[in-house]
Amino acid sequence: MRDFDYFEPRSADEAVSLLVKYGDAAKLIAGGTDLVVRMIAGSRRPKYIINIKAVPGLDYIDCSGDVIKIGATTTMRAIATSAELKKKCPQIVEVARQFASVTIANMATIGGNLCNASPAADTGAPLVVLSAKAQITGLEGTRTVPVEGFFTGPGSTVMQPYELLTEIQIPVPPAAFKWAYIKHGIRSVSDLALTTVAVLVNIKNGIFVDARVALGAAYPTPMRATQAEAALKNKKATEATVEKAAALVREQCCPISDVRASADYRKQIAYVLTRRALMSCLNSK
Amino acid sequence: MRQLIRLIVNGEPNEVLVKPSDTLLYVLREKLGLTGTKHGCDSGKCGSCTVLLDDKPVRSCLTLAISVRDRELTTIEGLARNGDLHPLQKAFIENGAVQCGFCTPGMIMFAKAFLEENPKPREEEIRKALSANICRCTGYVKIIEAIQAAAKEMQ
Ligand SMILES: Cc1cc2nc3c(=O)[nH]c(=O)nc-3n(C[C@H](O)[C@H](O)[C@H](O)COP(=O)(O)OP(=O)(O)OC[C@H]3O[C@@H](n4cnc5c(N)ncnc54)[C@H](O)[C@@H]3O)c2cc1C
Ligand code: FES
Ligand code: FES
Repeated sequence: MRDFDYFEPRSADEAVSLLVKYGDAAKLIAGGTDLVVRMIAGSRRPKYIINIKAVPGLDYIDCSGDVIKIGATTTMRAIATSAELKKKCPQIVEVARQFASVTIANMATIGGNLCNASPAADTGAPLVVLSAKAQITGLEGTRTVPVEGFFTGPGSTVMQPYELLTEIQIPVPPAAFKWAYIKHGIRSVSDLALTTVAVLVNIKNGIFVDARVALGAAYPTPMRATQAEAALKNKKATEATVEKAAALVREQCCPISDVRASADYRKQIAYVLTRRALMSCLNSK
Repeated sequence: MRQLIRLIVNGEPNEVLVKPSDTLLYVLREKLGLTGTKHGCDSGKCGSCTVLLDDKPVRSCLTLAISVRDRELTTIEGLARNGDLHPLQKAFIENGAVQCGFCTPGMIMFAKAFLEENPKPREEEIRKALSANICRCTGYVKIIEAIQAAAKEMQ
């Protein structure tokens, strides 16, 4: 690993000042489970490392209001084991439980997962269907963007080089809404997924009155399956409707081919997982 | 620039001179001579470098030593008490859970933290949790048996 200077800012503003001062040569580190892997491999060679896990007050889960607030340096393990969060938003707890192994989850942060912007990351698609927002802190203070608009491509986001992610905000999902998150991978819990799907639907009197569907690793960014959603909305909650919507996901997605799987295989998986996720919502009481 | 930091390893404070880029794995093995912690994949995947940071398992290969200064670390060398092996160490020996032994320190450190959270695990739970650590020799069955035996012993 190349040598670097190391900083532990005491506030988000101090982290911003360091980013402004050192520009492109600086990199924020949280859990390091993405960044250090790259630094060891030599594909990232920052001259300055700014450890935002050292910033007090960025590690919290606040379930007191209608919008859940999670600090950016909160670990995936803290999310997986929070009893309060399980009551208010069991969806995100379930996602965190499927994230990697306990050891990686003890280190990895939710902010790092989003900012690394891997299309295959676990939190992307679920936070999109949950209508979550990302709070970003920069020179001019804070701004908030929907997670759906946060990603601009593999490894890139709407954040400026001198900004950092400080909070994730999730509106408490209505208890009546049905939810499913399915992650399909090679080494199950210990690795990035080949494809993920998250669905949140409201079924009333046998009709899908509301439906949100998003996929991971199916597109250069987490993909909101807008065509499938349109095919579900205000339609009968039946297997035929689900089949139609899932088929549209296969059309809309455009996954990559790589060492782990071909694009065609991933498209098929996207279709199968979407069907399975929606059927599990249909069949659950 | 090198900095003098304090690392508390197995209850003992140590002053070490580190570069910010030194990983905890490197410092433990090369600066403190604690070679029980193994250097495997260097990418977070295998678990052979697992140590406990404030009693929670972490990958020492992906941890910057400078970022854990003044914190409590436990390595495999810290488990025996006055020459008596930890129940997990005994159970690994008695159940034949060690072949080449490369994965063993990481497995035991992981299992220690796991049993603290879940003292009476079901076999399924052990299997799922163990996906954190790779063993190329045993086929895992003996490791699972050892963890079950240690869990009983520790109750
Ligand atoms: C063995 C292994 C298994 C894994 N399994 C999974 C898995 O199952 N699912 C999954 O989704 N991922 C997985 N990952 C990837 C990784 O653990 C996650 O993406 C993790 O959430 C990254 O968080 P971190 O805190 O470690 O990020 P870091 O490595 O510290 O940072 C990642 C990137 O984000 C930037 N960054 C971090 N925090 C902020 C912030 N607050 N503001 C601005 N920029 C920031 C950093 O500069 C860096 O570029 C795995 C990794 C390993 C090594
Ligand atoms: S050496 Fe750290 S996980 Fe393999
Ligand atoms: S005993 Fe050889 S790797 Fe596990």
